[in-house]
Amino acid sequence: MKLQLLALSAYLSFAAALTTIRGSISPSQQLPNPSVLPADTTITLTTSGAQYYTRLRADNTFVFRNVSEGSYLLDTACSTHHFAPLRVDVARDGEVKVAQTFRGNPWSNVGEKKGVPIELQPVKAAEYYVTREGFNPMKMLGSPMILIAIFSVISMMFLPKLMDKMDPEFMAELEEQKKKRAATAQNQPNPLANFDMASFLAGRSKPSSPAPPAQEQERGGKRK
Amino acid sequence: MRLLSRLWLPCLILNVVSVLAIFKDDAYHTDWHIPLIGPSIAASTFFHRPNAESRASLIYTLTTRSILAAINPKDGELVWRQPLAESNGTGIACGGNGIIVSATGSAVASFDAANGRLFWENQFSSKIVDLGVTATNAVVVLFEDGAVRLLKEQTGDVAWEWNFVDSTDVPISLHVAESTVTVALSHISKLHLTTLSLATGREVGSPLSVAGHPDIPSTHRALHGDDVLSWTERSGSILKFMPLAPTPAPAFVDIPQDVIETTVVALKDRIAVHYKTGANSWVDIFTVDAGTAVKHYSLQPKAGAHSAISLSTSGDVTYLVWTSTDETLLYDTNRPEILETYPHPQGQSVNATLAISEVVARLDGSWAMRSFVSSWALGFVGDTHLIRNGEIAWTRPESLSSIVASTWVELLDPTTEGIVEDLNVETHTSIGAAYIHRVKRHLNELAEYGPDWVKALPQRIYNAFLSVENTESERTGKWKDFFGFRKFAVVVTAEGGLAAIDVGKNGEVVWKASLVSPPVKFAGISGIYEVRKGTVAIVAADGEYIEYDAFEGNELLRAELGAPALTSALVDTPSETKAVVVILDNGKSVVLPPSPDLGPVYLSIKESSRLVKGLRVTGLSHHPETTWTFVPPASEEITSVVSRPVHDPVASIGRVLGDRSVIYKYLNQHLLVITTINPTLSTASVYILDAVSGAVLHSATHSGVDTSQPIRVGVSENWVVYSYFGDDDVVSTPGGAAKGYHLVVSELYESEFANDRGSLGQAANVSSLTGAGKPYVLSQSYIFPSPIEAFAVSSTKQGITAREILILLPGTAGIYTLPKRIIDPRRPVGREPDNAEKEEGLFRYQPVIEIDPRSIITHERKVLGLKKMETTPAELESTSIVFAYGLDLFGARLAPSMTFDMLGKGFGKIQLVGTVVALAIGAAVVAPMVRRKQINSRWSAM
Repeated sequence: MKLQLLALSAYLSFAAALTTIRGSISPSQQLPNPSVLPADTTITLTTSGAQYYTRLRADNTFVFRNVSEGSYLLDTACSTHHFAPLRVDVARDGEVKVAQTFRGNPWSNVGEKKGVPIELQPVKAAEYYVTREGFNPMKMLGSPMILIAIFSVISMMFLPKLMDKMDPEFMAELEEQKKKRAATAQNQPNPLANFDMASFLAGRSKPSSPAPPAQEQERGGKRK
Repeated sequence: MRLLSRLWLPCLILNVVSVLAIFKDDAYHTDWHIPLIGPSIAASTFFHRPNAESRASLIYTLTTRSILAAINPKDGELVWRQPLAESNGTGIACGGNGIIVSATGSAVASFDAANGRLFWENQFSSKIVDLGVTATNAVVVLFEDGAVRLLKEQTGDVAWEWNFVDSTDVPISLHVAESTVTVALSHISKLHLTTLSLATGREVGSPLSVAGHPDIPSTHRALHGDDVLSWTERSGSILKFMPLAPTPAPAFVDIPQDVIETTVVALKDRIAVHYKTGANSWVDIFTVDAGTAVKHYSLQPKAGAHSAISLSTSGDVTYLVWTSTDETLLYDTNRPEILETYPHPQGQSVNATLAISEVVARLDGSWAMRSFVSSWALGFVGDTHLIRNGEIAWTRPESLSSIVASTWVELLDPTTEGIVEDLNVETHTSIGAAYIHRVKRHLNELAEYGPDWVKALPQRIYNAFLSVENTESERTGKWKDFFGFRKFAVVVTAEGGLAAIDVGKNGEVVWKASLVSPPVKFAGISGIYEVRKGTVAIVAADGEYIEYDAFEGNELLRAELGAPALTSALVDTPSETKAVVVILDNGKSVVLPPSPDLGPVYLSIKESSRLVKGLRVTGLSHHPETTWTFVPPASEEITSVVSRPVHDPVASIGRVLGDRSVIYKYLNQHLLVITTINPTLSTASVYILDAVSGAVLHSATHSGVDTSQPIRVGVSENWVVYSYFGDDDVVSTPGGAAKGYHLVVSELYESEFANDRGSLGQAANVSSLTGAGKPYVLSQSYIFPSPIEAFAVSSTKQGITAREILILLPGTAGIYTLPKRIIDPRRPVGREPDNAEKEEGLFRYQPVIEIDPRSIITHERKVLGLKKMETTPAELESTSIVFAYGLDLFGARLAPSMTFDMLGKGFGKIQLVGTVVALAIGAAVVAPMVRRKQINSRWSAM
């Protein structure tokens, strides 16, 4: 009796070992109309030593026939959209369990359970191209450097006019200050004119010979 | 949300890192693609309307490469194509009402005829012999084991099944009528017909015996519908055929001895039999009257070994179209007179092997005729053409779908080629004389070319500003363009054809030649090499050495080597030429051209799945010595042996780290990678050998490997990449491994420590023979989201440009480029990179490599069935040229570090000139103003 039962169960398990797995791609936000997917969109079930593959059907479903027991990785190869992988476990009695899986995670780590039949949804549309950034005047105007330049140009043009409208007394004071500054500037040698490139590059902070400043002063005088 | 972030984190990192991307304006300009399907199967090629409303029909064909395709007869473009299960070049395709049903091997599938989307598919345990489509689109299938199954039109599920009793019966064919299906089978060497009801699957009436001793398999070609049954008897000396009527009466014809092929074509009430001998062919026309076939007339034999017939019906008339090499003849099957002769255009002869036609009578009494023809040429089998009223409207180069090997041919430089002698004079005289010679030459050139150059200057400037492509790349023929983007790939087909493909010019075929002459079949190829400037050498597997002019396609030399070739290699000789070394089956070696000064060269050869041998060959000796043997551990099988590319220049011998110290690369030109699998333990091993000494430099074994899936390897510089399918289930790994495609990278360094060369010390030269030391190997493993068909590495002139790994993705039918620096085994694991590592360009290790579509160089193109990718440098250091083959042909330019040495399309010449002009005008306007202001300010300051 027991033997018979065993035989029966063995027979049943054998008979049920081949399962049909169904699934579909339903409309979603990323893909309102799944019928636009290319005709060669393929779905594969892979595990060691066994691989099943099928194409997406015209009604956006897919069927794997005669899948044997195992723990499979379901991948969708589609040239226009990117799909996340799924884990599909087919038990000995033909029961199918589907779970979310992440690539690189240990396989023993079963992810969030999903319903059967399988529902696939794209994660993202594939974008193959990069558009070359051409010359864009509006974008150029938006850059901070250009904004600074424009601002300084405007202030250069409008400041003198603003000055004209200012209080004459304050104006006079400003003139005075300006003159003073100009006078000191005349007496002081231009620091740039005195710059010794060679010694700067050589790492010496001060020029070794004291003669040049006098010369420079003379030249500065000539410029008047 | 967490899900999204987890998914996209790797992508974001990729986005930051990836530099290569396909620009929208480059796509379809710098790359080309020829989609192919392979040679058509005669019985599975037909004109058919994609749906009942459509007025125009498409050409549907199933090919020997198991691809079902719809071709637009107007321009020859593919409307759709679907790869089916491989089945050794056989298969059946049938048209239904808006559907196309195909059977390859033991799988049946039904596709939407208009767009190629799958309606259903089903897989069985037995092979399929024949199938038929009923009026309601249900499919009747006859299997090799004798079963007949009706598959439902909506789902493809089995509606009923019928098995005949005797297991010795051999199923032959299936004939679908309105409400019944007739199965022809051989029962105790008698031809039996059993009729089944389509509705129930039960037998209708008793089996009918129609003939004794039919040939199995039949020796003729039957290209008819379901109304006729045809078979041969007495080993093909009698051809019998009969319309399937209630009281069948077979008609028969004797087949003359010298006939090599007979074809039966039937349409409506006409049956045409086509006979071919080696020299000519003729046609018999039969009329079916009340269920019996009566010979109507015979057409006179036509000379020529190749011709094909097809029947087409329009109105009440059935036309016969007879396509021979130079002309197409149109007959009305009622009369033996020619209605119309369409001579083929001069120089465009077609050796037709199969033809299907459509004929329509015009109102003015003439005919519109179009034929889809598959042709045969020596070495090139299966090119298809559309002949429209005698004109060849288009041609598809399907014969190039069977390319098995290719080599690059450098084109000639027009600036140096003409003055080779002058340059030689300059190199061989003293410096002073050479200088004077050069100045003289330049003056001559100035006088000769100068005026023309000046004259052409305005046009050049105009073109430079307004045309998109540089006009200098327009050079044709054997002359190289300025940037070296044009190169020839000389390819060999499986049938022994040799062709030159211009990779820089959209894959144009420059010339074709055949390596074989008619009675001999091509034995396969051992190697193809560019031996000299403009000369390619082919070593055929049966031991023939053939040289061809790569620019013109002329045979230069043909030599018998005396024994089949085992392996061959191209080596450099001391006199700066190249020679081909061939190892023969009889244990000898040959060097061509003979170069006695050739020093010892080391080759390795895979003897069996358990043995790789190292051989030493010299220019003088004809007997190679075995220097080492590699036998993998017990129960391991060698699957592949890969060595570094021949052109693999290394720009830097070390890697500079963030702290300015250097780790030295282990650079060995003789790196050999051997992969093995162990199916019983589910392990895969990779051995890195020195091909000269045979020393194992490094080995790695991975457990839990799916050994039924191939292990792919790529080697370059000092690193190796390989991929396999890893599975936790097979061998449980502590911590749990990830299931998926693993991509492993191993880099070889001279030492573990920076500024240290390990055992090599200060050695300037390293010899494999005296012990090159063991490398220090760094490895990292990644998960790749797709299976990998092949690896290739981008190749540039100096090797300065960063390398990129080309990965052939079979799933999405594309080529992905992965910058090598992304899979850098020095990426820090489990922590953020420190400042030094950041400076080195390293970022945190992520186990998954996500495929960024912008790095797919084939972008939206579908490159189907590719097997191999070949890369070669262009003249520009930044650019590598790619050519991929297998089924489709694909060519592209690759710039792994962007085109840093060329002004791209993004460079606005007009903008630049405009800016300079605007600045000049601005300066001219502002300068006097500023000067005045300065003077004024100085005066006012006084």
